[in-house]
Amino acid sequence: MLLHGFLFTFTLMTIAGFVGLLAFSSEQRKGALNTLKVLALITTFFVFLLNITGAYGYVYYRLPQPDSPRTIIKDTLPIAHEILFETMEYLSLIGPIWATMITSLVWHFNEKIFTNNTIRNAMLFLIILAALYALAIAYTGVVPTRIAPLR
Amino acid sequence: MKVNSGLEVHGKVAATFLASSIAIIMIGIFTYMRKQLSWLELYPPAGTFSGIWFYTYIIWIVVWIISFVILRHKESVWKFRTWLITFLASIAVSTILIEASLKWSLVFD
Repeated sequence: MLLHGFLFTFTLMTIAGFVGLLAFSSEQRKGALNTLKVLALITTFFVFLLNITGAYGYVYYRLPQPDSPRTIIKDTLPIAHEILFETMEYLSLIGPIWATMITSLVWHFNEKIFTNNTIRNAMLFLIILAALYALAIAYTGVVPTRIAPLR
Repeated sequence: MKVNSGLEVHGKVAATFLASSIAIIMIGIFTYMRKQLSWLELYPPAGTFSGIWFYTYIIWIVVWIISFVILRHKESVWKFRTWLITFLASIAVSTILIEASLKWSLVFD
């Protein structure tokens, strides 16, 4: 699950790049819009990969064996599975939909994303909220994986 | 960050917001009802998670295609602020439904 963790870091990095570019650049700056579009696409790609690797790991996590991570976590600290892990598992399904929506809006609005303050502010709000949401979800995964890491 | 309520939303953008909001609410509904809906266990090793994942994403794509076809020529469908609120409300509803389906009694007992 090392890849899963790396993907989350890459996703946060691309989000930071997206926010920085959107907040501090303008459409006059050559290539800003294209960079923004590419960053949005890469972020969405990472979010989908994050989701797929998470689902793949989940199969091994819940194996009906006494040494599976789920069994160990449920025996050690039940709330780590029942509340924290389950929160991460289901809330993370929203991520790819949210990321795709933002990317589709970036591609639709084009240069208006820099010239129209309403659109720019709304996009900044959506992506910053998405990053905070992702961080909160990731945090719920820390405790279970500390008890029984998934390899 | 102030969002101007008067900005008109094109049909194509409305389709994106509509499909995303519906799919996100469906994630909440399916998760909340996962113990009653055995057909969500599409791939037994992953339990009902597999069905929630598969069916909500299918719903998302189908609703997006249908709403795009219907709304693509409309110059204005609701205001931008209304769609933003709808989308954020869908996330809030889904989050509440998901959290309500978890065993919080373990914390309070």
